[in-house]
Amino acid sequence: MSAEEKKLNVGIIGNGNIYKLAHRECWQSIKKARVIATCDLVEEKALAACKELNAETFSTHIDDLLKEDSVDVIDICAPTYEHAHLSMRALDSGKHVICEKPISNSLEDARNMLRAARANGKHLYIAHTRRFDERWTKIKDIISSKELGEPVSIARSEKSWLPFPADNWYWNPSLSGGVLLDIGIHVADQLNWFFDDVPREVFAKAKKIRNEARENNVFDFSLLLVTYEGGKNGVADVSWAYPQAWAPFYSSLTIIGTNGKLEYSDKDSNPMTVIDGGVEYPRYSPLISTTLTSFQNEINHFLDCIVNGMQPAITLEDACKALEVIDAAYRSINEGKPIKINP
Amino acid sequence: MLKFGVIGYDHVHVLKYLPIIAHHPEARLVAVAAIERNRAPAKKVSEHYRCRYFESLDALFSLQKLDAIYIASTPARHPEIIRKAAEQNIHVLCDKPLATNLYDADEIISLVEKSRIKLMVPFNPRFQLPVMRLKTMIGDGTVGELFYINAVKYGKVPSLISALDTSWFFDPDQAGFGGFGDIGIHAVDALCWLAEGTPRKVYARLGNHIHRGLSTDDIGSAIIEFDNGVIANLNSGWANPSGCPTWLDVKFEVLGSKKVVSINKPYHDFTLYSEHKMETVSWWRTDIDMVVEEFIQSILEDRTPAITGKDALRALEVVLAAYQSSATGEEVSLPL
Repeated sequence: MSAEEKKLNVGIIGNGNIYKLAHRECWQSIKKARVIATCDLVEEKALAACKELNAETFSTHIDDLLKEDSVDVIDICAPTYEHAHLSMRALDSGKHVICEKPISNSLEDARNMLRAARANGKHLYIAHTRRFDERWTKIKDIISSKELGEPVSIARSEKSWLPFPADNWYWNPSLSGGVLLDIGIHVADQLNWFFDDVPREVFAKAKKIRNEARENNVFDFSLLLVTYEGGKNGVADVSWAYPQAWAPFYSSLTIIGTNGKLEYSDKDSNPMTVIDGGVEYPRYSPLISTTLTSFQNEINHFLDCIVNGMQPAITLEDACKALEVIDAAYRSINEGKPIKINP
Repeated sequence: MLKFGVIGYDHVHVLKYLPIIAHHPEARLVAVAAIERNRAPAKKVSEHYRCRYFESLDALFSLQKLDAIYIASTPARHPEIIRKAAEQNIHVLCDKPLATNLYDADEIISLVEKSRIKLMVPFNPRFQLPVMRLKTMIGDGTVGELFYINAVKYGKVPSLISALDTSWFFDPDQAGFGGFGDIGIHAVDALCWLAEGTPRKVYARLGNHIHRGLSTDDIGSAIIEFDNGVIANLNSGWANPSGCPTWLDVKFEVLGSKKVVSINKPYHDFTLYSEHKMETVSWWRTDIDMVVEEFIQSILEDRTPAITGKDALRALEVVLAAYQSSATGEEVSLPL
């Protein structure tokens, strides 16, 4: 087998929500790698994933994957609170890792992950899929072209209705970090990315709106104001508490630049409306917050990086910076004051 | 028939309010006074409406009998004008902001209370059809418990207005503040009105980021917390580029326990495309007429107008708190 034909072998840990919504379809279509093993704590999920991806084996224990020399890359689709220890185990076993966002629910763990990647000389990629989504990459291109001048104020919304029952891990603040971490990490990274700067200060407010949020003592709404060098700022509101019918209007963005303004919203962008007893804006992706191809773009990019050793479009430092914003936002909410971040 | 005077030809709103006052069935425009600038267009409009034209406050107040005035001077001149009006029991429709500082605003309120004249500040969003509908939906429980209001108020920079000299907008001594407050104070009033609570805390980041070399801010973001727990966010400023098809963006989004209501624009409109531009044209706009009507009816019925001096003071206080927060970097508690 020639070097060109050599495909990377992949093992997937976690065959639940994000696997089914996004990663499954990606791996089915990707040509540069093949999934040889699946793993989930729930055997039926691991088995189903194994069949869906024509993998060779499935398991309920990560050790079975990690001891397998033929596995080159681990794709972690497990819940947030598992990211750090799974990533570090995989890195220590000599595997490259693609890990779902957020990098972790703890800044200390995130920094340990970074150290583990360096110590093992292996790649760790955090799957911030918004960085590979056509609408946002197109907007990033426009920012980079300076057509808007310099961005000085950015408003970003990402609002949805979390479709899981109250006992799901998403509603557990110590496991998911609530909406402020789960969705907030996307907008925090996007503000950093669009400003092409590191955040200097964060001020935030948050609320518990739905019964699921109140029962679990977790925020399902947050508003954060992030300040950059020279007082430029981004404001973002993120929520799981908007009505289900809001789902097609999930994301919106306004950029004020020194030389222009850019406005985006899912609602206005949707080329199609279906009208019967009500009005429906069709989704073109199983995940309303991303385009159909964003996950494919992302995973293909990470595979290219592994093969070619390129710098990824989202670095580990970027992922840590986004988490620093969320960490500061939590502190701001708790302490009731703006929190400075060291650049 | 109320004898109406228009004082000051500085604020660009005069171009909208003056004709509506002049055509109101209960009002007669008897005088226009340009006390600082824009004398030529003011004189021209006075000739058009066949009313007297003045260039000094003393001449106006000593030579012309008035029942009511609309003030479109620079905000710095408001106390002086309202003092003279109160002495003669002349009712006042005073464009925003009520004053450039809280000391002046307090003085104006006490003048009004002593003289028992009517004072109204034309925060027109309260009379925009979708905002009125939203207020009704909040009041009758349709929206449910209110959690969050997001407001956007972006306009073009006043220097793009060719009809008038607007240079004073960029002088904080005359205007009080820059683009965030100029454009945003209407939305602040609307937020206080919609939230049905008292603003308690303000955090803001404001600056001069868009139009180089101004001595004022031109854009900002503020987070306002009310005593009933409602959180509001306001993004405001001279942010719309000259090529923008709309001069002014007015957007509100409300998150309640029963409904989300999103207001995308204040007026019904259509879009006009021509060789070099695209323009939105509103075809159903009632807010300025309704402001003038409310002010006149409050005089005729001898009752408190829908928007009071205290409402204007509260909006000013929130705006000034935003400036204070931005200067100190801290969240500011109200009252100041």
